[in-house]
Amino acid sequence: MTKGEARRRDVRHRPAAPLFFLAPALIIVFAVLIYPICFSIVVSLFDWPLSAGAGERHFVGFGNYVDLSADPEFWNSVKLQLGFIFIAIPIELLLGFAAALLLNREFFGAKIVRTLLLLPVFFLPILSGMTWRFMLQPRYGPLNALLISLGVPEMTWLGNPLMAYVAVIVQDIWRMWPFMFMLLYAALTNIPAEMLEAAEIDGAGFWRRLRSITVPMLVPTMLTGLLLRIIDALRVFSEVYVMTEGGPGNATLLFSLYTQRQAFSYQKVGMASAMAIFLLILSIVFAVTLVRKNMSLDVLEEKAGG
Amino acid sequence: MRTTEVAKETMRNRQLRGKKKAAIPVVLWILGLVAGILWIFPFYWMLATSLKPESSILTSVSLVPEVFTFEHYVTVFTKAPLLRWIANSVIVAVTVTVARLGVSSLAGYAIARMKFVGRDLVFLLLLGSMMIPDEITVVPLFIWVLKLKLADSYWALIVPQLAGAFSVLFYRQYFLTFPRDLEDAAAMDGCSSFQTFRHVVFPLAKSATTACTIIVFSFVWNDYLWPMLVSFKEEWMTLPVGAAIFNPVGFQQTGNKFGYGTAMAVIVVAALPTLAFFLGLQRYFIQGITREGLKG
Repeated sequence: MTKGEARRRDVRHRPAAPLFFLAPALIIVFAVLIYPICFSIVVSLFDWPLSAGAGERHFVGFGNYVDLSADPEFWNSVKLQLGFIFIAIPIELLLGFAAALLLNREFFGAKIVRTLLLLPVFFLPILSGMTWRFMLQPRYGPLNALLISLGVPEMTWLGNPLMAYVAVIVQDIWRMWPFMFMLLYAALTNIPAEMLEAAEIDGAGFWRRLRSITVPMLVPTMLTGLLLRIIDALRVFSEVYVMTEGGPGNATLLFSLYTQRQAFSYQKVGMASAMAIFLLILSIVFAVTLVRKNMSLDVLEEKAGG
Repeated sequence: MRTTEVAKETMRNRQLRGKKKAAIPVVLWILGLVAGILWIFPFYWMLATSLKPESSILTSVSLVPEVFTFEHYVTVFTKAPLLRWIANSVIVAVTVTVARLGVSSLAGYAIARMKFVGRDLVFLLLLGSMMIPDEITVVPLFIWVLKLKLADSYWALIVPQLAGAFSVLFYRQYFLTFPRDLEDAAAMDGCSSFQTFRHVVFPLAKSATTACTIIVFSFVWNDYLWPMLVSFKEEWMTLPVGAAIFNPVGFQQTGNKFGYGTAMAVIVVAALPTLAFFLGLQRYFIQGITREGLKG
C-alpha cells in the first residue's frame, strides 16, 4: 500500500506465480459474484416472470426503475430500512461505548459479565426473532403478562404498525449492541494508561479526558464497527421475517423483505433485480464514505506513530 | 501480552487513586445489575418455557415452571430431523470455511507480496465486492439452481457461498506485516513460491487463520435466506431454516403443527452448540477484528 512498501524488493517469483495464487479466488469471485451481478443488471431491464418460459420475457429498458420510483411500497421500504439503520446502530454504538467505559475496570465477576454480555451476538438471528415474537404475544407473552399484573391494559405489540417497527429495532439493539461493546472494549484496553494518567495530573476531569483522549483514540474502531454493522443491517432479513413477516400491512417491510416479496411472491424477477441494483448503489455509497474516513485516519495514525 | 500489562497498569492506577471513586461504581453496579437481568431475560424465558407443559404455557404466565416436562425435547428429536439439520449446517459451514480460507490465503498472499500487472485493480475489485449484500446475487443464483436442478443438494448449499472477499483482505492485511526474512531464506534454500507459502508462510499465519475461521464460520452458520430458498425437502435444510419451521405463530405455507413449548425447545437445542463454540473462541474473535482488522 504505502510507497515504502512498494519500493522494497519483492521476493523473486516466477512470472506465472501470481496467476497461480490468484486464480482460484478470481474464478470464484467471477462465478458467484461478478457474473450474477451482471446478470442482475440485465434482468433488471426485463419484464421477467419467475416461473415463465423465455417467450414471456420482454425487454422494458428502464421500465422497472421507473415503476419502482412510482411505487409507494418501495419508498416505504427504503424509509423503513434507513430508519432501522439510523436508529438502531447509533444506539448500539452508544450503549456499547458506555458499557465498555463502565466495564473497563476490575471488579468481582468482571470477566463473567464481559463474557455473558456477548451471548446474544452469537445467538442465531432467526432464533432471536422467534424468541422475541413469542415474548410479545398477547395473553401468554411475558411482556403483556407484566402489563396485566400492573393493571395496564395489554397490547398486541406486533399487531400495531408503530410498535411492531419499534419491536424489530429493539430486537436488533438487544442482539447487536454487545458487538459494539466487544470492539470498543478491546480498543479501550489498548489506550496507554500513562496517557490518561498524565492528563489527569494536568487537571483534566473525566469528561475532558473522555473528549480529548478516549474518544479520538477510539474513532477508527468506531468507524470499523459502524461499517460492519451497516453492511450487516442493510441485508437484515431472517429475524424480521420470523418476527413479523413484514407486517402488519407493510409496517416492517424492510428493504430485503420487499425484494424477496417481489421476486418470490409476486414472481417479478425484473423488479427484484432493479431493487437489488439500487441496494448495491446504496451499499457502495455507505462503504465508500466510511472506508475513506477510516483510511485517512489510518494515515494520520501512521504519521503520528512513525 | 501488551494488553495484560496495560490492564495491570490500569489496576495499579485504580488502587493508587484510592476510594474516592468507589461511590459511583456502587450506583452503577446496581443499575447494571438490573439492566443485566432485564437484558438476559429472553434467554431465561425461552429456557423456562421449553420446560413447561403446553397447556400451562397458554393458560398461566409464571416465571418458574410449575410442572417440569421434557416432552418438548422428545418431540423435537423425534418429529423433526434435527440432527440432520445440525449435520447439514456443520458440513456446509466447515466446507465453506475451509475452502474460503485456502483460496483467500493464497490470494491475500499474492496481493500483499507479489508484483504483477493489475494488482491494484484486483485489490479494488475484491474490496468493492465485500460491500455487496447477498440479496443482489440471490435471484440470479436461484434461477440457475432451478435451471440446473440442483435444489436440495450440497452443491446448491455450498458453492454460492464460496466467494468471500473479506477473508482475502484480512489475509492481505496480515501478510503485509509479516517479516520477509523467512521467505527470503526459504527462497534461497530453493523453495518455489508455493512451497514457501505452503511450508513457511501459511503455518506461521495461525492467528490470522483462527480469527478468519471464526468470522467466516459464523457468517455461514447464521445464513438463512439462501439455504431457505434452495432447500425444499426437510432433510436438506440447515439448522436456521429448519428451526424456523417451528416458529410458534407459523407461516401459512408450512401450516405449523407445533406449539410454543416445542418452538422454545428447538431454540434452546439450536442455540447451545453455537453459544458454546463461540464463547469458547471469543477471545480470538475479538483479537481478529481489532488487531488485524479492517483497516483498508
